[in-house]
Amino acid sequence: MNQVFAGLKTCLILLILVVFMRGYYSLYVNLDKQPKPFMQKEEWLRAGTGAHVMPLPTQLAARLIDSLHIHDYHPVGQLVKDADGYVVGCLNQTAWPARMDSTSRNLVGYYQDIVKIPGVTIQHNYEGICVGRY
Amino acid sequence: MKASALDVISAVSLYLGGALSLGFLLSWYFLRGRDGLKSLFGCFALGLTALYLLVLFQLSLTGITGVLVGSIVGAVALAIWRRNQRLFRLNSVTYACYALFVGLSLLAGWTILERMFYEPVYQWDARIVWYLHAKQLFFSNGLSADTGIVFPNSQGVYHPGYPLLMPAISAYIAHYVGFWNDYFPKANLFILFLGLLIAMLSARSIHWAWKTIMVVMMVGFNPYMMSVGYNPLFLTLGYMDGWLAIYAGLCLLFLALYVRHGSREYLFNAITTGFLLPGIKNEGALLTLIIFGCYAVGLLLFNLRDRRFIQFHLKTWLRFWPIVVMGVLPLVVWSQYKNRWNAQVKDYDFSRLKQFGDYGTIFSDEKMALIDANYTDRVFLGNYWYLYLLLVAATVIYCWVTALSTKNWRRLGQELTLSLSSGLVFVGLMIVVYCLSVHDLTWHLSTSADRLGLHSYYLVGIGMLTMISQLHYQAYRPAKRKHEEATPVKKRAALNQAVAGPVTPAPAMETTTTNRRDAGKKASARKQKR
Repeated sequence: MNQVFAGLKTCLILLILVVFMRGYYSLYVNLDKQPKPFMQKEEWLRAGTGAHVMPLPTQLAARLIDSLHIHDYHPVGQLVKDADGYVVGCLNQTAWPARMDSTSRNLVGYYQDIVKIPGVTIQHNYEGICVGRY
Repeated sequence: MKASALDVISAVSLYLGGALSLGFLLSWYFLRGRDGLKSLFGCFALGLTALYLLVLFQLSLTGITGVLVGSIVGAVALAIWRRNQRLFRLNSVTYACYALFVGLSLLAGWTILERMFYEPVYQWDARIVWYLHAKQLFFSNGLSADTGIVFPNSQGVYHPGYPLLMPAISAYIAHYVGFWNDYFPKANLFILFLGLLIAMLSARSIHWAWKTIMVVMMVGFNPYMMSVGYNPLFLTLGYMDGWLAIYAGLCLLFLALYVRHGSREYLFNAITTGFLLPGIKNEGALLTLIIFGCYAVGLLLFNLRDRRFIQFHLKTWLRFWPIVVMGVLPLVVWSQYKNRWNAQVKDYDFSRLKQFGDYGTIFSDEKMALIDANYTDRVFLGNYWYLYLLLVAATVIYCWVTALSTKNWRRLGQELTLSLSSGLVFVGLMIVVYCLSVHDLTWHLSTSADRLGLHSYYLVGIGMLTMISQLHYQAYRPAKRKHEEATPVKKRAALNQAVAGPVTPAPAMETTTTNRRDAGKKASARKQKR
């Protein structure tokens, strides 16, 4: 009976090996299709790093909010719709502890969107992204 | 501002050590005199749950440091006080095997470890939900009214209903290091990876070679993840789905081991892991219900005639009632927060299930075709599903052939029900849940089907590996195992008589002795008299 078990076990192990080998083949095929990793080994232990993988408008807006020491902001215009909300969602995380608040008097967006809003003065313009204030 | 790698390592070590110690302190009374290594993973899971509960009770991150240090000191003091109680029974060969196992596992996991630490958070859920919540907890030094997870004028996608266990670990590590960036807070995933290794050390009934296969399969070198093209990113991106699936698999593994060996430590591990799952992600509650539901069905289905066996199981469960209460508490507290914040998940309309006449619309052919193309096809490994089905069929046949020889089909049936049906039940329930989606189904499937497929894959995969590894153990050591199996008392006595020959009446004191330590003391006293 033990020989039967040994045979069955060998068959099972072979089957598992075949499934895994098929999987390894897929791995090598898929690795080229995957996006390249964003490794910057020297950065991983420095404060505030990691935003360089974000879309450019997110990076610019976050830098602007940080440099102006704003505690809350309200994104407006095309910036809100960019990449189906991904730009603003990431800005929310990147700019924290500055809070995204719908009642804030600090408006963040593209220059052409901010200048259209009556009663708003441009505080700072940084490569097309600017902060306006009521 | 810059930190050293040592800061991150010490933060992870403190959290891990503190969680283990806290779990040990909370559970030692229920497991005194038992195998400490077997219940080590349960201590880890219980410790994480207890720390999560403290965060929900609005203890600050600074306070968490005090709890971690206090737990380590308390655990050491308890170990010294109870030094006569043997918790760990290991020999040098076992140590060598375990060292080899850990080495192989780390080697297998190196790919994911590298990406875990050297890649910033950039995917949607990871950035906008998990690590935003972690950053909020870090900047407000714990959960409070000022944390910002919910505030009236907030904008953007927040998902405040997602649990805070994993963000709380990230926030603590950042608090310890002293600043935030988007790299090292992902060390919370590394803590889960170490938990996986602890789980494998605790599963002592499985041969180390099978453990290595399991870890290699779990950390990403598996056909499912490769076929969908995400391998091994799902464990490193900051998504919690992959780790939730792995921990659901571990819960299943320990429950199956409990059914097989009847060891109370395995039940402890299964219970604590089961209550950890809803803390990792909301779907964890469904996974826990399915796993323990399948266990209950198997127990009732195959032991209907043996009520004493069912009573024995119930009594063992009742021994752990304080642990169960402690596991349920974070769920209750978190539900209270969600009710207060009006943050319940509103992606599905479960009330439609009450409309019996409407089932034709709910489960329409168009929906089923979409779900089949995006979900079930992926779960069953896409274009080489036939290999997968062959593996399941081979496992079942192998199990039944073994059962015929060992004549232990009742317990085997219970194990098969638990191990192989949990994943399939989950697939069935996910199809129902997708049919009740209030969003556009094409969009909903494209954003979540590949991740939810992982849960089914891990449940079925780990279930199969558990069965095969355990049957190998049983098939080759039938004589030894017969004494350990829960065969009826009369049969066991007959077997013992057949092995030992004619029974001579034993001294009355020895037959009534049930405690091994007492028996040992009496034997040594007899030797001294001689």
